[in-house]
Amino acid sequence: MKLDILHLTGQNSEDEEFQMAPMIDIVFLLLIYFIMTTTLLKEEADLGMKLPGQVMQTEPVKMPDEQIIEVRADGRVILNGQVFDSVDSRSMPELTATLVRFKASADLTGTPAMITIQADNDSVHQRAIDVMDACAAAGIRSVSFGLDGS
Amino acid sequence: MDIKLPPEPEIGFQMAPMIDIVFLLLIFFMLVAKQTQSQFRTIENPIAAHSTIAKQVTDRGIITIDVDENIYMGAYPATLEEITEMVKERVEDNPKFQVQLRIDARVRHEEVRNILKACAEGGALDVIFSTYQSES
Repeated sequence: MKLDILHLTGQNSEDEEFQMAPMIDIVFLLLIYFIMTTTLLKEEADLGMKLPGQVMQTEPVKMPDEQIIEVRADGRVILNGQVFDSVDSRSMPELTATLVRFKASADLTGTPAMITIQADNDSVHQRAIDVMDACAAAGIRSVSFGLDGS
Repeated sequence: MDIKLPPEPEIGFQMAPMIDIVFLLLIFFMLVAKQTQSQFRTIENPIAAHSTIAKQVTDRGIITIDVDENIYMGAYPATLEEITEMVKERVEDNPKFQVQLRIDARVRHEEVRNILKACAEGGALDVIFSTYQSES
């Protein structure tokens, strides 16, 4: 019986060539990894306000019709001594309705409607934003924050 | 007269364009992943349904306060004094400069007030709060 020398010496008689399949496997694995780990960023929106500053005044100013809204540490929102909406209400329909009426009456008298948010030091930022959002819903653009927290 | 036509090309699945696309996708996701890591701190923005998405976001400096009440100007930690100085410099360079405040919804209002004071002292009077329009 004749032995095959090539087999004994362990040499491979097949042609050596570049294998694409494992490379594509790895590329796919990397692709899946990055797709799974990438979180798409939510688009951020704006709620703007103007801070008080020093400006030259050349024309007489109409004094704004100002209301102060208190935001307590426990989330209660108070206007003229009355609590509006529940503490977990994001949309604040009662406050929005009141602010719409306030804006309408200010427009009738030709004075700018202005809201000052007097928030407690320990109230959370979301609650002040809820009040600003209610102002935006009512069309009130002049919103500022009170300097002192309770 | 016999006209010799070229042989019909074989119809088969072409791997090369598919690999090109896979590589492009791979490069895109690698770049995007790096950007989102390095740019800003991750925070939970407050929700405001009536906020508007800005069409132009140039001339803005971004200040972030995370849930632990750490303050960042851009991607770097900063104190209130440093923020006042930086805002002052930016306002001098560009009078249209606006401050965009990315403040975690759970941050106490005292920190918000301090940062507003720092911005006002620096001369930046246009302040924008970052929000999400919905929770989803």
